[in-house]
Amino acid sequence: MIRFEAIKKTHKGSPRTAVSDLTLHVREGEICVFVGPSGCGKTTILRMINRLDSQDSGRIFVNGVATDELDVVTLRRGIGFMMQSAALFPHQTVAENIGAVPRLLGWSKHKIRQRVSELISLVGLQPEFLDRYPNQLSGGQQSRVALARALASDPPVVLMDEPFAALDPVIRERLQDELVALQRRLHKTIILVTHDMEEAIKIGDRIAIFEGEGRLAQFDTPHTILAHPASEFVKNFIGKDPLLKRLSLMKVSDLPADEVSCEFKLLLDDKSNPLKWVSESDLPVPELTTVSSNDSLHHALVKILTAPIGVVVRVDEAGGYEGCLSIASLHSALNERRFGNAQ
Amino acid sequence: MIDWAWIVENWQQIGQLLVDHIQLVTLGLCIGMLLAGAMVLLTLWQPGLARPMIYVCGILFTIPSLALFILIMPFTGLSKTTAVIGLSLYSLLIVLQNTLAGLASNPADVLEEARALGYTRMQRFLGVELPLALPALLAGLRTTSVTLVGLVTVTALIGQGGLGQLFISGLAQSFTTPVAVSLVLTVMLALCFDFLFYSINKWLVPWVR
Repeated sequence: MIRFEAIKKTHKGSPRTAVSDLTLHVREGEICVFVGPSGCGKTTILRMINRLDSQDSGRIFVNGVATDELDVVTLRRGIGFMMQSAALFPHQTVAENIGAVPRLLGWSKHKIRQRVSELISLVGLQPEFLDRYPNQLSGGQQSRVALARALASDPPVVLMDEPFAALDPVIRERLQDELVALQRRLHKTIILVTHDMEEAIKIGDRIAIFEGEGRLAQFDTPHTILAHPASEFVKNFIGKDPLLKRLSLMKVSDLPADEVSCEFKLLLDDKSNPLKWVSESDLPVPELTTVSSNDSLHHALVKILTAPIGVVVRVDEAGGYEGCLSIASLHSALNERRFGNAQ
Repeated sequence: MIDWAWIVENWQQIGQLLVDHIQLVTLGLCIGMLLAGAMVLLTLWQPGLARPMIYVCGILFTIPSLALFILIMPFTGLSKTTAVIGLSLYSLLIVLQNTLAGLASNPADVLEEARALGYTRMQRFLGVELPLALPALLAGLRTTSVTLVGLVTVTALIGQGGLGQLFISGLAQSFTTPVAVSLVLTVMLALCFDFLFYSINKWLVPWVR
């Protein structure tokens, strides 16, 4: 979908290379996250796609068409763009902001109105926000509007430059989740720039890690990067506990269900929902802890560590019994994966 | 102290002077605004011109008003044209300076976003930059109108001046009434213009809290 071919750039008057010979292919329908330390050139590379910045040599193809062959205004109107500061137009209402690109494209008023009301609910805001001005919105709400504006003309490609960096952690996490959920329905090709590896792991289908001077250090799925960092730089950049990060990527349902292996027996009701532990002897019966097959293994680990007997019961989404989970099952699963991948 | 009989007797003439006064202010304001508009468009084409323009405006503004009228007089004589040229120049200076400053302080990220969304240069100017600079532009017009109401009285010295003529004749005859009438009316006129632009601002700029 987006192909970089031998891109090189040096900023005017700067001795340092901004981008050194980048070749990269972002597939259709994936979220590709560009991550790296500040000044590594990731934002410059992003901005080259809609020609806010230009390369010295090399070409970029969007959907098979070289960007320098298109009229720059046409190119930009066909690509969604969202900045770190939501950068809404302060003099326009939320509705006018969202309708900006459709207006430029000359859509009818009726069609714009329809699309705007569709988008406002898509990004999780009430319709009464449509008549407000940006300065009446919170930071998180502004980001939602900016996202709606970027999606307004239903562009196949959306570029996001640190879209959540300015938000407080709680809101940031919620918007990250919503972006992932939204992407499952929309199947856009999204390139998102961030300096936050956690965010990259959480959102990215694939992650491109850049080191200084726009050099691509590794480009792969979060799993592979965490399990097999390509270089010392990547190893340092992904941080201290890659294993814990991998756990947050995996779900309980990724593991085979184990049988109960402790001194207690599990009592199920007639719908096979777990009720409580029972004991054959006189031992005091501990409280029952459950995890859903949808939970991340990171979440499950915390539950296992806090469960009185180190065993939690896993249930499906309807609450039905699936099996048990303990440290041993996590341990063997991770090791299998590691050895499995190493071959 | 105040000769009310004189006011009643001369109300028609006073009214005419008031109309003249308003006319001069409006003309100066409109021509100044048009010229400022043209110069702003020039800066779109040559962004480097904005800074020197602000600079020159600042210098020209220090020329005393009377001196300015006297400088123009050799070309256009003791005519209304002389008054209008001088007044237009002053309003050009204030409006241009305010507008350029307003445009320069527009948030860079918003302009960049407009570029990224595919606004052309003209669409960006008319759709984003100008509306965002509107408060500054209107503040400029507000200041200008009030300044011009005062400046018009000075043009009485070159035979124009609307209500300013009442000053001159009142002073010449040591007769307080016309001076007082002129004073009260000019102050009221200035307040009216002030309120006018205040209202326009409220109406056109609903997005500033």
